[in-house]
Amino acid sequence: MEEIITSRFSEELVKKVDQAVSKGYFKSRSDALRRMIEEHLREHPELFLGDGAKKILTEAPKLQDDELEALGSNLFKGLSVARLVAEGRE
Amino acid sequence: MTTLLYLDANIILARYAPDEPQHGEAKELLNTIENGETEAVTSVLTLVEVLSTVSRAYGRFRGGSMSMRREDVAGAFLRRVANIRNLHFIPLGGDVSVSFDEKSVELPAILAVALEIGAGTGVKTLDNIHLAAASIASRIYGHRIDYFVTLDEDILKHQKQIMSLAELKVATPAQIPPS
Repeated sequence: MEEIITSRFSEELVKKVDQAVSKGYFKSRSDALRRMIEEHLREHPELFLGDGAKKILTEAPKLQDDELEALGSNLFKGLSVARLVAEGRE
Repeated sequence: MTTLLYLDANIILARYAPDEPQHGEAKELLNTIENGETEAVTSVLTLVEVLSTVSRAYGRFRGGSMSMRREDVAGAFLRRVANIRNLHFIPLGGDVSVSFDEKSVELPAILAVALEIGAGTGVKTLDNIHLAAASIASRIYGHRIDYFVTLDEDILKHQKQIMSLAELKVATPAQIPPS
């Protein structure tokens, strides 16, 4: 399904689009704008990100080094972190 | 000139793992960085590796009940690592266009460098990305990385190839001379 949207563009921008159409890069103004928008969305994945990463950092408990070391001594007990990291790279 | 080090993710985690054989050396190294005696860089990839490694260790934890949730434990380590003073994170970089015959592919600068050095070193993909980040860091900082510090057996095994292809001296924390 397609939807028609109305947008305003400066004369200068329209001129540039028309030039690209007349040179054969696009079939029409509509084709030019559609493809430019598609390309922009493909190249900017950040437009689709939520704030998950930010939330992890801001909501995580703020622990001091000695607390993290105590946590690590349990968490990594009997494990080699070097091997654990390497495993994740397999 | 201050020593410039590249830290592998395993060095940062070793600082918080008392059972790790080079825990003491890793801790000492991180202290010298936080005190400003040494400069250090790592890839943004390290943030992801710290988080996922801690999360995996949590899944294997057999020492009784852990009072914190998995995401809080992983997040707490990540938060601390992101805030290590004087540790700079090397980004993936803007896209560069690499041409392969009739096709050209846009890829982040770091992956373009990984293509340059990956074929000859024989290291694993993510190891290769760390090496590429170190190589880019030396260009950003305008002087060579003095040591690529790691505990990764595979990287240590390939140190000759890494030296000749990426001009990076690989060392464990115990091998770094005091600054």
